[in-house]
Formats: sequence, C-alpha cells, structure tokens
Amino acid sequence: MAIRKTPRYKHGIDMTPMVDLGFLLVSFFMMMTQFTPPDPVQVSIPGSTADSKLPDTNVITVLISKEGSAYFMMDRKKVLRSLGKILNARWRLALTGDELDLFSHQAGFGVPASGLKDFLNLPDEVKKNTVFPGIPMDPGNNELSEWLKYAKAANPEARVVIKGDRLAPYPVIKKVMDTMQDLDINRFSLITDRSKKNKG
Amino acid sequence: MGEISNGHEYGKKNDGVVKKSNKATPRVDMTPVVDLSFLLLTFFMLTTTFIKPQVMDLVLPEDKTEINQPMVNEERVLSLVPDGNNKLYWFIGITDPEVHETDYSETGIRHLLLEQNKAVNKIVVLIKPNKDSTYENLVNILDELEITEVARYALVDITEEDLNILKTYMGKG
Repeated sequence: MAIRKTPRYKHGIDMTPMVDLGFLLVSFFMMMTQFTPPDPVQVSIPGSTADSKLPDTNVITVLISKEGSAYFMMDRKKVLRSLGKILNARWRLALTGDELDLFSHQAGFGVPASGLKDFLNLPDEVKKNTVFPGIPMDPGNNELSEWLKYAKAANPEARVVIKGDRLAPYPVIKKVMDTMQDLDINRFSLITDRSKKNKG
Repeated sequence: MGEISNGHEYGKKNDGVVKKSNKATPRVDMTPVVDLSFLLLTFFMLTTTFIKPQVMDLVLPEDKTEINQPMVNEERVLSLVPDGNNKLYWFIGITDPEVHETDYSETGIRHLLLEQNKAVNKIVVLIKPNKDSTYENLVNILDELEITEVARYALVDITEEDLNILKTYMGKG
C-alpha cells in the first residue's frame, strides 16, 4: 500500500530578510536623526529663495516671536555651562552647581536676569508649556546684549542667526540688529524657509 | 511545529500512534524581531528632520555713524518704504518725489526693481521700513534685491522727511 503523501504547507514565512531590511532602515534613520530641542515659542519663519545652509553646530539663535519678545538659544552644552558661569558672576545670581547643570541643559532662555534662578528650578513640564516674557532689550537694560556678548566670548566661533516670526514687528528686529551692531557682530543670518517661496 | 517529514517515519504505525521525530526545529520565530525593528523604524522616521533650515546672510556696515556714508546723486536713489498691512511705497530721490504704491508680488516689486535697475545706472536702493511693517516684509525685500541682482542697497532708518513725503501722498490719495 502506497503511502499517501499529504500536501502540507509550511507555515510561517522566513522573516530574516525582513529583519535585515528593518534594521538597515533603523540604523539609517538613527544616524540621520539629531534631536533638536524644541523652540521656546513657536515661530512661523518667512519664505525666501536664499539657499545657504545653517551650520549644525556653533550657532547662537535669537528667536523673535510674533509678539516681539526675544529669546536666546545656544547649542553646545559645554559652552553653555561656561556662559552660565559668566552670567552667574555678572548678575550675581548665586546659582548652585545643580542650577548650572540645569542651565547647560536648557535649550532656550526667555526670562529677565532677575527671574533666571526661579526659571531654572521650574519643572520641565512647566518650562515646556509656558510662554516666557522674553529677554529685555530696552536701552537702559539691554540684557540681550549681555547674553550675546558673553555667548560670543564663550564661543568666538559661533554664528549668530535671527529666527524671526513672519509677523514680528520691524522695530523689534531693528533693536536686535542694533544690539548686534553695537557688539560688532555685523555678519549674521536670517533663517528663512525656501519651500514657502515660489508656490505659484 | 514538526512540519518537516522525512518520508520514512511518516505514517508508520506503531500501535496506532504516529511516532514523532524528536529532531529540534532549527527555525526561530522572527516576527517579534520584525515588530521591534519596525517600531524603532517608525520612531526614528518620525523624529528625523531632513530639511536643514536655510539662511539668508546679511552683512551690516561696521560703522553706524553717518560720516562714512558716501554722497549719492538723489536721482539714483530708490527708496522703498514697507508699511503696515503689507503695503509698500516707493519713490526716487528726496526732493518732492512722486510716491508710488506697489506690492510684494512678482509683478510688483520684482518688476519695479528690474526696470529701475536697467533704467538707472548704479542704482542705490534704500530700505526704510516704517514702524508698522513686519519682519516678513523686510525679508521679502532683501530676497527680491537678491533675485534682481541689485548690488547696492542699505537698510536705513526712516526719517522725518520720508514720513512727510508719505503723509503728503496719503493726503492726496
């Protein structure tokens, strides 16, 4: 009696190539990713046809919101720490070592010097969800000027860029530019968005 | 998961019980690995930003004082005054100039700049933003100057005279 072979399907597809592919893509995206910290305020940047690229590191950003407040941002935690030390001494903030650590991990600043200590001690959630008043830059009390001056001193290589909201009022932009000119920062960049231009 | 049969053992009955081969199956179930890898893939895909921001470089004069500013024939000076509500005025010269209104479109300012650049030799464009104008207006103008290849331009403060010129124009219009 012949043995009847029952046709049987192999269950389960070979997943190995799929895993290969999956991990290839994972490693690709892992390398491409750089975790950019969120901005202190959301800004909608204007469009232009300019196409030079912003460098990855050594950037000091002055963010200008729609309401006309200025925020200070800087990369490089090490440099940020030395900036924290300088400002601590300059404004007599009496920051502790822990607070300096917090300072160096902070992505953006938007509070006057007097409120800096309290600001650093806020919980992360609050920092993320609050819109801070911005750094004062009135003629008598131009703290933005000090931020920029000492940031430039801490990292002379840094490039200063302005990231302004489309609707930021011109007088504020002018104040920021004047501040920079007074500090001999005559070369800077405006962040614009190429994709917003030439839609038609 | 003993799906693999080798023909010899299969179907041989031994007291009515099919004898199972006790070979270990070499197959590992890869599905959870795939799940994991695709989870990571999705995460990194969502966090990646490919587009680096573009920047427009700007160089301001080192000296803000007016001593070093060259004198220019006023016929060669085109003043652009961005105002509130995305309005844009322009005039040539400073003595009783004729004020015109234009806009930020291609047929507006770009046309104007191209035309004036051709008509006037060595044109100098002064940007005098009024206090109600926005950052976008400034960026637009700088961009158009770049596009139309106007070599000489400056960002200056708006003066009383300019404001008066505009006021007269608005009074008429």
